[in-house]
Amino acid sequence: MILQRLAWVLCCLLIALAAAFVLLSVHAPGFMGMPVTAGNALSWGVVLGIANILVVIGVALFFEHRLNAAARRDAE
Amino acid sequence: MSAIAVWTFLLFVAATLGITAWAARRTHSRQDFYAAGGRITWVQNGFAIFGDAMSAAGFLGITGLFFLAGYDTLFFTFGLMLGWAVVLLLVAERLRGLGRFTFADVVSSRLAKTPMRTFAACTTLVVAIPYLIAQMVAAGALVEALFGLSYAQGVLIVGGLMTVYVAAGGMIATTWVQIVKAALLLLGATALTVGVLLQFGFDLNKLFNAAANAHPAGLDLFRPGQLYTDGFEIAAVVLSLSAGSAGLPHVLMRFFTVPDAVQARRSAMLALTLIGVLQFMVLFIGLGAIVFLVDNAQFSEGGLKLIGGSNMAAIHLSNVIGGPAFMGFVAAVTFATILAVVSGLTISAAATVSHDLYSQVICKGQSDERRELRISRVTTVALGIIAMLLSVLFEGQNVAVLATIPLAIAASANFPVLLLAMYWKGLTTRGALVGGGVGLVVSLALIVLGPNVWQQALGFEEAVFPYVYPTVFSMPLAFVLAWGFSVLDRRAS
Repeated sequence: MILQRLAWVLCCLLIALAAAFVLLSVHAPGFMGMPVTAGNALSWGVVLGIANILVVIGVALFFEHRLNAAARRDAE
Repeated sequence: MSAIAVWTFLLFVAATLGITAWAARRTHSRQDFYAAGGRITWVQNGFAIFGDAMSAAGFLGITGLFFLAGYDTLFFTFGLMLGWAVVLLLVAERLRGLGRFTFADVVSSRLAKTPMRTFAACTTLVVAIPYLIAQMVAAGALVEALFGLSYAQGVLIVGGLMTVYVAAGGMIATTWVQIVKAALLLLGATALTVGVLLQFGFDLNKLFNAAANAHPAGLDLFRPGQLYTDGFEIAAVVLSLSAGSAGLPHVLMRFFTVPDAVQARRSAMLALTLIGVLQFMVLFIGLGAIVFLVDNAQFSEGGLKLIGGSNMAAIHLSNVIGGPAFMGFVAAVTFATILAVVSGLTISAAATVSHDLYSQVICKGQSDERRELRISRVTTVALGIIAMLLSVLFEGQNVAVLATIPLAIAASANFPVLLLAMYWKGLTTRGALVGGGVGLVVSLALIVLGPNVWQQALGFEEAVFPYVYPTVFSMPLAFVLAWGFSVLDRRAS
């Protein structure tokens, strides 16, 4: 039950992360387009975008381990 | 077209037909036909789900969009990744635990069987058929442009092969076709990404600067606003892709092919990771396309207007990076992608007709297994013919118009009902039917009144509904109505 709640909380956090990205893109496009360093074309938006993809994958991998442990406990 | 394209494609077809013959010998029962006997491992299933999720739109479409609009393409990537995170965390395990062959098994598990199965079968067909046509229209156009055959011949090849894969080999053949295609797609995308990065000595800064210099938008390419300026529209895109991914019946059906719920979740995790890896690579492929294709007279009609349209960005780039031989390989992989996705769609539609409608609704679960399998195969052939005929009728239509419909419906009708059926004990049959039904009707109506159909397809001057994706209205409405009617039902009883 705790894990199920945790799954919901994680989903809500991911949705909040995506919402923050969308809101920042709409209301602060200047910031999202700002280069990471002077003379660099890599913008904060692109860096955050890539980070977002990696966070989702990371969360998935981390949660996988926890859920497997819970499934083993249930089976016992 | 180079001989290598033809040979790669023929090799793929020969290999997949061999797989189908092998699978046909192992397909004896309903369990084998619909769910590959539940013997697929989580690694195999992860690759197959990745294959199902990454249609031609996921590779060619998103690369083409990045070529045109840069930054804003990330909204599509997020929507997709978020959707798969939801599938992983909330859907996969529970779905496998509650269902057997189709997602209708899950939504009808606690509710009245006949109306819920009929509803789920209808939404499955409404999602599958336009998606099938969209893929076949894209295949016809691709064959026309790349292999020098006619559009109708392209549709005939895809439709014919798809029918053979599904009717003869069922889910076992469909799954292995997806696995082969997924491996080829990853190989092709990796080679293309490494090829692009090699040109810049793996210096990301050089690549990003070169893209900014080549694109007419300059540094604005890495700022939001090239494609969307309305936050509401962005939210609609993200919501449609995220909830739509979790409601596509042909993708959900894959979770029934593994032995247990834990393997279902693991396969979702692998699929999410592979989708993330591919989307990550698409970013570099898109940047490479900007650097090498903008204003390149060999591939561009001027500026961002590519020969064959923006969807050809990845194909043209492969010609620049590896010459005609590599382009042939990437084109063949793309064609294989379409072929595999239409097979997955067809088996989900065939299963819903034979298992949900015939076996469970008409025969009340008392059908003869052999007869049910025969109906599945007849349905597959019928669907193949219908899809081929409609694809010829829809020649030249905007593929995006057709592809919008299934995602919006899956997000508005299937996803709310599925999520509530799995997690809320208070859901009643009337609540599910009203919520899902209104979600279906409202999403369809708003798509017709929206810019893709009303303006582009029907030629009216201004769309009645301003957004392409109606999910931001139709999905919450479906949730609220399902909840409201269920609460009223409980009070009344």
